[in-house]
Amino acid sequence: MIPLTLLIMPIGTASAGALPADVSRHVLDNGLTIYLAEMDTPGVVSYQSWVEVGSKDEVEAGTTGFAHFFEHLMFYGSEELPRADREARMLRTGAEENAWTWVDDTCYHQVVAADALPEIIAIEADRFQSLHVTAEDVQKESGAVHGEYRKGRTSPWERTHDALYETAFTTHTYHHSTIGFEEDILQMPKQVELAHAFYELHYRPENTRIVVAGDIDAEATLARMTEAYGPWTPATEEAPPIPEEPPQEEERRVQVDWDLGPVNPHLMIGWKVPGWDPTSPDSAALDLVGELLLSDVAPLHRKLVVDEARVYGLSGGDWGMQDPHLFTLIAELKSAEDLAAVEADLDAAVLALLDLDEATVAAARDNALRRTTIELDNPRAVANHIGQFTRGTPEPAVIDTWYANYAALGPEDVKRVVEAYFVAEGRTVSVLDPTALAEEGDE
Amino acid sequence: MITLLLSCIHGPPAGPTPLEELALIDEVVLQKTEGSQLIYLQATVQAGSAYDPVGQEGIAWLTAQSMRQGGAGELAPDEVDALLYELAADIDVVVDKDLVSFRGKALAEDAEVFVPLFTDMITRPAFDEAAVERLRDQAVDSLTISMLESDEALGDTAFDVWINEGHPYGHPVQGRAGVLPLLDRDAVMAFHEATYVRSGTTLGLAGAVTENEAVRFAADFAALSADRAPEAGPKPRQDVEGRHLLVIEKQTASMGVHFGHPIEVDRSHEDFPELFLAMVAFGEHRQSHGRLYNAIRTDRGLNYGDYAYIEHYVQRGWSSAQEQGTVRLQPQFSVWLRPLAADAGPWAVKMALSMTEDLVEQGLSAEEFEEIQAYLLMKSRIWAQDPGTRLAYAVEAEALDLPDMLVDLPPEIEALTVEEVNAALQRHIRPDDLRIVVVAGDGEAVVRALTEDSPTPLVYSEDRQPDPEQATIDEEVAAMSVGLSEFTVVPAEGIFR
Repeated sequence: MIPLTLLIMPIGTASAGALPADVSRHVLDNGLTIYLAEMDTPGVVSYQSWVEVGSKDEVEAGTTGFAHFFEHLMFYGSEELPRADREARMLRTGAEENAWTWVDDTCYHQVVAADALPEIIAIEADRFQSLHVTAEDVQKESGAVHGEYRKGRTSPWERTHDALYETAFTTHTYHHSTIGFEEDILQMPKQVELAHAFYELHYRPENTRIVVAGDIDAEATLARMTEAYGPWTPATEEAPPIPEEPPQEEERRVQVDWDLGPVNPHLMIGWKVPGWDPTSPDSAALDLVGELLLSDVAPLHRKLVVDEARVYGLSGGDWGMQDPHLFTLIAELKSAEDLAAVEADLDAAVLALLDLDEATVAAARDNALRRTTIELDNPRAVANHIGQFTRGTPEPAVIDTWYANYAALGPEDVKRVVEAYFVAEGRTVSVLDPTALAEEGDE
Repeated sequence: MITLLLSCIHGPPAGPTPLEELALIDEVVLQKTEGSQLIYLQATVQAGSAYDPVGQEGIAWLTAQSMRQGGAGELAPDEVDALLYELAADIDVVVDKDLVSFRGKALAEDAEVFVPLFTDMITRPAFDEAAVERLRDQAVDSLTISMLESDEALGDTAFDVWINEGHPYGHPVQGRAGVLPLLDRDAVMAFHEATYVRSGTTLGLAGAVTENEAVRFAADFAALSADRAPEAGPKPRQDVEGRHLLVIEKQTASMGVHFGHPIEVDRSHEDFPELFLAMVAFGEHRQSHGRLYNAIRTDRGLNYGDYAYIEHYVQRGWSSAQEQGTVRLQPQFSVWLRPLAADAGPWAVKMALSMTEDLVEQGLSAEEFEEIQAYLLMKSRIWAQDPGTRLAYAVEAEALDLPDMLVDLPPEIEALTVEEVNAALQRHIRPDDLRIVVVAGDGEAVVRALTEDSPTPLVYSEDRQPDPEQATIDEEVAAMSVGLSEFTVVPAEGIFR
């Protein structure tokens, strides 16, 4: 065990690194990384297990959606603690429990009363080391995933976003969404062997970080976790490499199919940006670009949403994926007639970033830093923050680095990243245009 | 008596402290949080959509949103946005049937600027005309397009409207699409004047705040008129007799289901703890332990989740927790089945109905009761995970003179017996008198499946066969008669006009 303790500045100023807790990092002999953050949150603890596997790891053909499906299977327990027994024990703790899967990560999370933490450690350590999933479990659970797919298919936002990534990425696995393609979901009932292999390969200590934040005794928690997770063995095989996306050479466009009745037009523009790196000034600058384009005081929001009221809502930004991904601008429009004009407005707003004054940049920068302090007022938010920042750079000092970089950003940084990444060769547009679909239908 | 309800999160709660100088407002809840760098503000007003006059459905929603986005005091909307942006502070608005809640959060060092802004937004809203019109258009869009895009949102709202038909709750919180275009700035100002009054307002402060700040905060609300709020109060609701089906038809491959009936058991009713516990056992919102979830999702893999409620339930953001400010004086019992494949839908409806009958007839087992009781005693300790949520529970309770779920419910749960729970189920849940809302692609097919006597078998994929016990249940349920007394099929388009 290598205990590495790093103190982060306590809250009190809105300066860089304003986590309301000290964070210590510990690496067990088997490679499991544990972060402990003692907070003044009487009686409440957040426990998050971050496994570094997501839909981008679905490299084999026909396996899209499997990382998310496997997340569901993790609730089936072990031979010693089968699903129903696990459920009953978890129930006794009163935990609020769930999990999520996205492109890079799968996160299992609980919020629980502080005195139930030892029980959470025991239950979680069991399923991460001894999961027992049968062919019948796999068959049953695949139906629930198909239900989740059905639930999402009625969202025009999801459909437009899926089409954007399917078009922008031809080779890298960001091509497919986390829920997966329906034809692959229909194969899941038969994939018990794949489930076992997936667990062996990805659910390993060296691939996992556990964050515990809140009303904890760090020393006692670490001792308990070391004992519970100590026997977990590292993987014997390496995960297959994720195919690299070839450079995009020209702009791409896609028109989204929609057959589910009345719908508002949706417009999404994505520009290729590098994989998110909290130590990189470019990642910080791209985050700031999102603030400058999309906040309530941004000229784009004022023009399109408030003054002209042609757009119901704007969203997007750099969502911090690990590999090269898209910086997005997303608009839900009132009328399809405005699609071209709004697209031009979005592009013009990006160009306007080339010539910003220091005061505008400072306002966005200060807002982001102060907002962090305001948002981190509970254990779950703090654990999330630690989990996200330590994805590629495990030292918690990375959080300080990010905020130090952020605090130093100026107009020239914004200009640099806009010139580098907001280019036609990196641009993809996805449009859901109900009028175009109606015309097609008339033909 | 005008009281300052004071508690300190790190110490034992202090009793109510009379503060005569606060004779301006009904109640002020003050919860100091030692060590906090933040200030949390809340103003909750009896001004929800139940106060919409007939012919002005949507005015409550439009007024509340226009207060937030239409400028405050002398500040124009863009100046409010700029100031909030500078502080990096938030003010959220939650509008439901009985209550409207404004919830603010900022750094304590900004209190001198933030508190007056928050107060002006509620006591002296500017109601910028363009903002009112824009928000009105958004409400119309929501009721005619956005809400109809999601099968789940459509089903939830349609059920909530239908079950309260003829009652002030009986239209969507955003109003009606056909009425909203008639509402303008003058109407909004008149509604604010009449409804945002001191006697209908409850205030709350938490975090790094002092009693003096609380007193000053309350004093600033003197700008509101003192007149009593128009009495919405409990009003009789239509009795549901028999099982009535409403199928909402839209282009979809799925089938989503809501059913239930009004009940009179609000949070102050002596049977509330009993029914609350029973619904957590039957199907707690987005948790995997309930009976419905286990039968329909876990054992059969038919959908993403299946839940039961004793109050209308609004989820807070992406979490599964209940949004504060959405408690109502007149609740409803309901069951929600998330989208099912269309061919499994009718079977699932029968299964959920049969399970509801079983819940009432057989009740909970002693073991199940003890398990859920122990669970809730632990779970209630994390219902509030930050000072703002803790405050919101207390304020919504004060606002409607109901018990505080965080403080009052756990000891009542602890004192319950399984016999009491099962008796309360028999007293209040009526499986034979239900309104059932189904969102589906082929309405006639749903009606046929649920009215004809021929079975609606559950068909598994060829490589999967249920165990014999489950197969027997499946067959019995498939052969059940739903016993509908009425059914209607309507198109989704125009449903909230």
